[in-house]
Amino acid sequence: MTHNIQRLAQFILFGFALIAASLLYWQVARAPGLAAREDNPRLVQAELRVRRGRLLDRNGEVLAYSDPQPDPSGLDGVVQRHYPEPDASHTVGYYSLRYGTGGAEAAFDNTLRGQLAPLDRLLHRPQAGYDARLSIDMAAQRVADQALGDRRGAIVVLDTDTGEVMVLVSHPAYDPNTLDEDWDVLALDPDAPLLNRATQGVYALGDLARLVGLTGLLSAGITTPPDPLTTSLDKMLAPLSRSGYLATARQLGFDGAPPFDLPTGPGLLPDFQDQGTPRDLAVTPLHMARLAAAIAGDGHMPVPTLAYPAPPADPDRSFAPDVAASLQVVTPHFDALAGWAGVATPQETGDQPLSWFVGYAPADDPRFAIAVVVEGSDGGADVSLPIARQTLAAIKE
Amino acid sequence: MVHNGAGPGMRNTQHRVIGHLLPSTYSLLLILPVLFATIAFVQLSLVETGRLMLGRLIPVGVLALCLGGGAWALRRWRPSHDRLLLPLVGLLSGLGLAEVARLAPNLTLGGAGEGPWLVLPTFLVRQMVWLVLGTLVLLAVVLIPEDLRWLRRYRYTWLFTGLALLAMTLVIGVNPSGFGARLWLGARGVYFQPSELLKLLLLVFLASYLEDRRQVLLDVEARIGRWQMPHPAYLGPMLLMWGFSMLLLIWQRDLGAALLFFGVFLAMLYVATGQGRYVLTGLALLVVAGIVGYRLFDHVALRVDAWWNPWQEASGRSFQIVQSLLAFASGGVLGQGLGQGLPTAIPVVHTDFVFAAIGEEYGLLGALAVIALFALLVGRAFHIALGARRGFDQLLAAGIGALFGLQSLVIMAGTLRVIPLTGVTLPFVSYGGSSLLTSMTMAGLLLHISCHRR
Repeated sequence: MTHNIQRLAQFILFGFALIAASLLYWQVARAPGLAAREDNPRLVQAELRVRRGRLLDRNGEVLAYSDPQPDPSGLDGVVQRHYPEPDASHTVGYYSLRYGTGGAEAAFDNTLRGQLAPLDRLLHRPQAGYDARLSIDMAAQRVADQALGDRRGAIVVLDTDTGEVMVLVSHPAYDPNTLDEDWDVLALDPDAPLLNRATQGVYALGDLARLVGLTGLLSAGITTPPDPLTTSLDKMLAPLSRSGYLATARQLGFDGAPPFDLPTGPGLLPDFQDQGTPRDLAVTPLHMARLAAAIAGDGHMPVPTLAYPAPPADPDRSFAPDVAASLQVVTPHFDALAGWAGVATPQETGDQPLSWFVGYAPADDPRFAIAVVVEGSDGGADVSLPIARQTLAAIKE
Repeated sequence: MVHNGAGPGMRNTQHRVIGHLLPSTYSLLLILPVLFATIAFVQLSLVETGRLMLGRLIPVGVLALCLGGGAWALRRWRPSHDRLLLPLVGLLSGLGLAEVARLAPNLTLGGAGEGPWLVLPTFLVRQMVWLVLGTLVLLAVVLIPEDLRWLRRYRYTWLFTGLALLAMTLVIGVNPSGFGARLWLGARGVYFQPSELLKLLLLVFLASYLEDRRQVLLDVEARIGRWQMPHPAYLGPMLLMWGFSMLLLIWQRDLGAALLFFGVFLAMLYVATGQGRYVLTGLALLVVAGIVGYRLFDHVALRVDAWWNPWQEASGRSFQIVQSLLAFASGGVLGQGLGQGLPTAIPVVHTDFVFAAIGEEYGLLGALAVIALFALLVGRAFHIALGARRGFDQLLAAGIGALFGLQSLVIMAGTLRVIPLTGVTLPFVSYGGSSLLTSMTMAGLLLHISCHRR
């Protein structure tokens, strides 16, 4: 029996060796891939404890912060994210375990989350991130928000030199503090509160097509009519031809989505084959603010950014400096504010009328470019100009 | 120097060297489990409450008492016992206490906020009681003055007792958790799983039967074609008893125990006869039984499917095994540290999946150490078998070794997706009183046999 017992012992020891080998397989060879699986509940547990950095406006005002809840053990607890300025939700964004991130929370996610150093991982310290400062001027943003009131629409203010976005308002907004509870209602709301109208709302230019036409005429070296604000659009555009108009739109980048930290929507060029008119050209308010900045400057469209200070950028030239100078001359002045107001009709928007204002300030030494869109309003300057005025007044101080 | 009449162990100087460690080394080996448990419970207290609560160290005291008392009694009355077994059992039981404290549902006696003395979870208190009872049974088995002839002689009585208890579960069986297979007898917080006892009794029966019929089993008395086999009259009673046990277990849907019985039966048959063809035939039968079971029974098919392709239904039918693998994966080499992983994401982690929890929190190194402990335990059992004086003792010790080995292999392999998962306990470590009591009894039998060497 001695021999049999020895053989049996060998067999069982071989079994233990097999277990050791499969331990190596699962705990070393397959471990990284497995641990990263989405259904690993440890990821959620770790995520709940990540101390995200704060989001600050350009003056250091807190826009989002994380508040660790004490655990029963007094150790690293679950973190709650707070947003003191829920009206700025489209800019600040949201952070949700269920719905991910949006807005600046998504754009600066890497900074806010930070990295978990190997030593911290070993010691089970929660991951802690860094603060991120946004180019937003929260004081002005609040004023802009109030100026727009309960109307649907968007406001964008850019620094003409750096491209820093000072104000970014989209109405209606949502409350990121209660996003998880509200999501189902928000997602079905016909007013689309989850859509950032400033960067993704593509609006027909209507009257402001005149601005694009003038840019095209000046760039092509064609003499502009003596009364560019009152001549009929068709008559003014006649020398440019439709293809010239489309070429100008492309030259201004309206066929693509502007580069930005937040997702942006590409413009829509008019379909002249299908009864389209130049007034149908549609772009985002952000893009129109860039056009205003190019006019206010020397033809460079700034690269918009939410980071403060703005990272170095090399903006492309959209038109020649003398074109910009000529456009400045024909741009209407409203005291210290220069800009174009207009209306897009329901035919052009396909829905409700809307009022535009696109301009820059101060008129004599431009520093800020602004675009305002108010949905459901055909009041033109009467509606959009006061909003632009109040917003810019809040910045200048 | 030879002192006359100084004890049975003194007769053989060779065994003095192998079996008897120096007293100081033995004490050191006994301190290790207590040290390990102390670290584990201090760690748990710190992780869970942020401070060291002395009340949480009660289980360490219980373990130290069991080990110290056991060692004292053994050295006093059975000085020639195997000196490695008790420390091994102590270390595994200490790990078991720590894992129960870590993993079992955190229900407390007396409710929350009644002071540190009452915050021990109910499951932990139960496990401690079972550990004390187990130690007493172990000592009783070792200290029985006679040899094990009484076990051998009444083999049918023992086995029928076990079978009767098991059969009772078919009628009045319960499951303490309120759902799942009804494998327990008892009520009001005290439950016993007869299949655990039957395991031990079947070992005794097989050892006794095989010892009596070893010679005749080796004689070829019948032929079927080229297939030679012993006379059915010799093989029959054994196959009948074993088949009856298997049938009961399969009826009960206790697949793990059935698999274990089958494996132990083959192992002991091999030890007794040395016939590899029995083993091969048995394994072939196992495969056939598996295929038939897969076709006929949903609960068998479910386990095989969950094993063969767990990723398809990772959040459904394969949830347990996938969560087990995720626990192993997140443990890595060094582990997360006791109390700092998330093994509780695995359903019923404190019984069937305790090895996955060890893998997550003690890491690859800790899990390998546990494997090494079981290998040592099994190796020690076979060592004792080799040194045993009587055939019955040899067979019984080898059977116990095979049972410890196969049982730990089956559950480790199950949690690691090497074989389909079947619910058996990890001896000494998993939560479960019947399992701990049976394992302790078997350790006691091993110690008893180790005192009566050749």
